[in-house]
Amino acid sequence: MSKIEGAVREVHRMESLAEKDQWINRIYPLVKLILTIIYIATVVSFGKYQISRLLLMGIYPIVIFVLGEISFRDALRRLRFILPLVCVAGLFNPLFDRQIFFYVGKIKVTGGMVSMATLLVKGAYSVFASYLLIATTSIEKICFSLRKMHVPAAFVTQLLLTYRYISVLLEEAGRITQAYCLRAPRQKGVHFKVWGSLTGQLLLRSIDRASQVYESMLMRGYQGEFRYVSARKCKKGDWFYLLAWLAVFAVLRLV
Amino acid sequence: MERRRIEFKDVSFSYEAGQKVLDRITFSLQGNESIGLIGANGVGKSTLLKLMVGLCPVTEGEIWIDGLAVTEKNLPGIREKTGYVFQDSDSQLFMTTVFEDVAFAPRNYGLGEEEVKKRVETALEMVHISHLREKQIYKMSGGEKKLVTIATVLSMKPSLMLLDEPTVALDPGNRSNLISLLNGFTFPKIITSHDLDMIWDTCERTILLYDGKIQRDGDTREILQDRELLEDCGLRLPLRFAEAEGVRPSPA
Amino acid sequence: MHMADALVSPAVAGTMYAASTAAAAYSVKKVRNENDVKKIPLMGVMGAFVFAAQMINFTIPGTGSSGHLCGGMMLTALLGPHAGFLTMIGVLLIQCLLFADGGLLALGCNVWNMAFYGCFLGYFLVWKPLMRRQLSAGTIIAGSIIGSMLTLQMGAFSVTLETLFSGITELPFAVFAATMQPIHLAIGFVEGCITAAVLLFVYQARPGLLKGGRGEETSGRFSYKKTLGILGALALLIGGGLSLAASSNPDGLEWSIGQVTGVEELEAADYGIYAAAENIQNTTSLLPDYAFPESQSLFGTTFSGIVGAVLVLAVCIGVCCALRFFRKKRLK
Repeated sequence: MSKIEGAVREVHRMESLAEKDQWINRIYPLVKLILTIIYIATVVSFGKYQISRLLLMGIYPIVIFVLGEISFRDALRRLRFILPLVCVAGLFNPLFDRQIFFYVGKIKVTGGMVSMATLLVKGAYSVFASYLLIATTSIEKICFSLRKMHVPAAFVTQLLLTYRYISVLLEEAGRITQAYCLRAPRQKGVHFKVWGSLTGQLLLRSIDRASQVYESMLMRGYQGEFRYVSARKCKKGDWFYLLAWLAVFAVLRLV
Repeated sequence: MERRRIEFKDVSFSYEAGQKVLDRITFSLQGNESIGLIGANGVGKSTLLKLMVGLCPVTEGEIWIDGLAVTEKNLPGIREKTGYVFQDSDSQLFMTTVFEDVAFAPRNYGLGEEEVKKRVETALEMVHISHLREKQIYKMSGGEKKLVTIATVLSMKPSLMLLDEPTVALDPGNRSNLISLLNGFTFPKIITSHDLDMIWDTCERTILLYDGKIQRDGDTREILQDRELLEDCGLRLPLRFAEAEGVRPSPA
Repeated sequence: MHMADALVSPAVAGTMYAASTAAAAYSVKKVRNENDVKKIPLMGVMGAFVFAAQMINFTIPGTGSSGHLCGGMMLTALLGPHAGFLTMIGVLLIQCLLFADGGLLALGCNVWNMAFYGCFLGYFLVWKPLMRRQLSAGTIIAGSIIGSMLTLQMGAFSVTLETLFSGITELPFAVFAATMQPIHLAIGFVEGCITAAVLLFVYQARPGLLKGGRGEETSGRFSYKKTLGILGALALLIGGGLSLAASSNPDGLEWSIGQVTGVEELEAADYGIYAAAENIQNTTSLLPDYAFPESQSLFGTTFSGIVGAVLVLAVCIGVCCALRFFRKKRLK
């Protein structure tokens, strides 16, 4: 099924992006994580009519897209999940909120139109920011950052394992559904008679795999928690990067 | 007489009551021997390996490893000196990159980061994959993954190695690499496999399991050429002899 | 069902983060107390399983469409509520990072809407009471379907509330809820059926894997008092946080309160809107970050203001491209 293959490809693509050796990839992961969250929070904190100041927040993604040499087209592709949702939520604003803000030529621009546009820009900016984080920082490094933020090791370990086995299990699911499709042509999905057995088989295999993983951990001295060692320390440059952007956000938001 | 490294004394095991998978197994491994453990599917080869490191509980009989009985109390010590290479590489390699995975065991044994790094580098060199150090596990081929699994146990500096079907799903090139690698290790090994040619190339001694019991324990050269014995136990001659006898392994 | 970042205000996002974090911290403690080292790898791999299984399309008989698995209910039945909840958080976090499904800021909301209800309510209100009585094919089917429907209803309702409290949409509360709830009733039923089919298969193959059977001792000592206490504390937390959120978004609150108390604003639509606008203007004098007063400023909400902002962005693109060009040249 193409959906599964697409997912596998997406995982691989993001990983190879994060592996690139660019300046932005080398910035301390925790700094990028914090910055991304603050950026998104700042973006969504703008009032619903503050579109022009919100637009200026675009400076952050622009600088990183261009100087980090990250493909903008891939980021646009990611909007396809979010924008429909945001559109539905904002669709009614122009209908309900009809106060006129200004005219462009003879076209009346109402508060609802402005607030809907604001919503769309917020949606796009926040997706871009997350994309820039994940395109320059591997999940593994994000996990290390979480550990640095004192997220419990049990949770981080489980998160890393989930990430590690996503591609393994996606491929396994892909093989099962492919085998199914070959013997059940002209079906779009899985017939209800085999809902249980097809997925159940995958489930049991996953559980068996989990116990093999556990045995393998035991054989290598595992006692309940992973030991995390970060590859490098937070340097002066990282601090500068963080503070500089925070200053920019503060100026754009408050001034 | 050389020191006994591994000793099985009357070991029996069953997953379900009344159905013995292993039945009164007794043998010992001396010095730096390599033993090939062969037998048909489901004969208990993997179970035997798991018993040695406590992944299956020893319920009947005794197992001794380097003078330590396999009991709950001794398990950490036994596991620390035993390198166990599982059949499925993907289950064994649970970290995301090669370095992290190979560093997993040394870190768990409380070594400093400098020493960990050294251990990882030596282990990777031993299996000739230093260039894969930072590679993501899921991007690697089956052959590369197998080498990494071996590196993950080498970084523990094991004094004993257990390998479960190491050549499964390897192409001929990777397979022969693996064989010469295994022959380069000086510590004792127990290798389970259906790949009798590989056993021929790596082990001087072979144990043939059938019906839960040891059918034959002796010189690899002898056992692997005994066609009648092998066929009685659900196996066939190694391919090299099968072809010499004019028996085609597959319809040509 | 995944909320996007743009649909939540920082206050709502923060509140939901706090609530979800509290539930997660409690779960981590619980899982740790179980002291089962085997559980972590199982949770990790099961997270990957849910991820993969949600990609499989299940044909719904008699329709052309397809349904998906309900992760929360399935995990809670196999791992118990606490481990299930943590596993779901992992799945949601990776979905949001790798596939832009949901968002980093809205993660707290998504965890609450999907993982909390699915794992905790699904387990304590539906799965456990049913399985206590009898672990059988019938109770598994009933538990899966009722659980999925209930938790999806709760989730959908929370989505509606969170959106409204964020002051994002002008859509009246009643209309929003009336669209969300029935759709999710149907989705919940289908997800429940799929989950039931999978759990039935597991029950036949390895019944020991299912949680909540009578013989089970583990986290079984469940006290209503304690759970109610925790739920109460979380409700207070969310209530308090949301009212704070609402006070910075008066329009959102006004809409929902107006709808709940039945003030007929729709009939007098124009009046309602002007009232709302007036309200905004009144509050903005207190909250200077609101939109109106700054419309005179450099980048206010005027046509020229927007054009100005776009121009600044264009200049920014130009400068960055130039920088990149010169850096590359220097490297050569």
